[in-house]
Amino acid sequence: MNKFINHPFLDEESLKSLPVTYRLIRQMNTADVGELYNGARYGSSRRHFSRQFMMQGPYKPLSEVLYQQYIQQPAMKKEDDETTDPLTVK
Amino acid sequence: MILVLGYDQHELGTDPVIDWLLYYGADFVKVSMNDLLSGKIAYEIDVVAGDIYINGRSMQQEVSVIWYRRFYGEEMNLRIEKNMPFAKQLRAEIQYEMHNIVEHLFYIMKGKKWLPYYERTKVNKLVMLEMANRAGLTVPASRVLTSKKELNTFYAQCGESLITKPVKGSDYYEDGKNTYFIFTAPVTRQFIDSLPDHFFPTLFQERAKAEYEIRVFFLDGECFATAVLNANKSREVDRKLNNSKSETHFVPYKLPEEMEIKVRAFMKEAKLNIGCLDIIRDETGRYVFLEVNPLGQYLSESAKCNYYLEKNIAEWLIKHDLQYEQVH
Repeated sequence: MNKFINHPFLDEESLKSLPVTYRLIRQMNTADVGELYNGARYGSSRRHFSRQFMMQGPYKPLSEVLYQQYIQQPAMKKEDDETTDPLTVK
Repeated sequence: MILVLGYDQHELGTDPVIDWLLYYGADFVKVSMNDLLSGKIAYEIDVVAGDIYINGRSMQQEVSVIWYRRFYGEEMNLRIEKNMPFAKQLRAEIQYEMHNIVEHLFYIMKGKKWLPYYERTKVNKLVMLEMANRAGLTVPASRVLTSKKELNTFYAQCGESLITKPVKGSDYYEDGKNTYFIFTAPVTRQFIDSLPDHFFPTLFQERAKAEYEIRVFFLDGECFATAVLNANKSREVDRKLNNSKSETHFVPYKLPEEMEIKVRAFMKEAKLNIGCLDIIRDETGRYVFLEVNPLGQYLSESAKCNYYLEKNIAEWLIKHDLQYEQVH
């Protein structure tokens, strides 16, 4: 749980030489700070760079059509594919 | 060719765009600071000719569009042990040396189409407030103050409703299980009374009482706005602390046309073709501009509002790359 704290690592003398915002510094659980990537990971595969990001549940259903297309030809467009919209199925 | 300047590591604003570039089969290359350091790519810089050759290919000739997503900021893989004599000084000097080399690279590539322009990747919050005001946006009364006396006066002028936040921002202080961070925080009478008579210059702003907050992703004139709704009266002042709460909802939002015009005017004045703007819709119906971040995160709003901003960015890069090829 996040909470206000009083000067976790700064004494009053140090605070005098800092902007007053440092008096309002907040303490959080490190594992809750997503940007630090220290929470639970779903894997640690070097090949998939799993150590560098964490698992997050999708917000919405994923399109299997899109994934099937991507898996078939990840970096190539079909020659007869005039559309640039990957969600458009011909 | 599209040049993507990013981190070695996964970065949630970069990699989804790379996925779309791969999908479209775009001609692109991603380069990180550590690529330039590690010998992973072979390159040489011809200073007099003003060109960089990567694997023998002239970047001056081949690159048309540069997307500056992230570059500085990732820890450099310097092979200097901490216990070496003068390790701290050596690290500082080498980093400075590298920054100067990169600065030169940006200079010689200055004529390319940048997103955003390399000199606008960092903006000053105070300058942006002044520019936003000039562009017709409503901005909160803002003061950088150094004494309790001045703060008391400003506190009274703003109806005893103030916030304070860092001018530049601060990083996380990570200490094992605990991490410390400075968020935007309300200023109370009790807090003011606890301060010494004089203090380090600090930013204080009139607190706009938010009905809801709006995050605007701006891309080359187009606004993709997200309203962040939270009806809880005891919600935090800093939106970041509310984001993961169950009562916070993200919904697509259409800014009034007049407001979009002002946002465009401001971004033009600030010489920004991309950025994330924080705006408050206050209880009186005003739209109050808070700040803009040219390299802000957008993926959360993109996913929750079905904006596919990462796809939009990729398509923008491809469009400008193709336009360049047609002209040349």
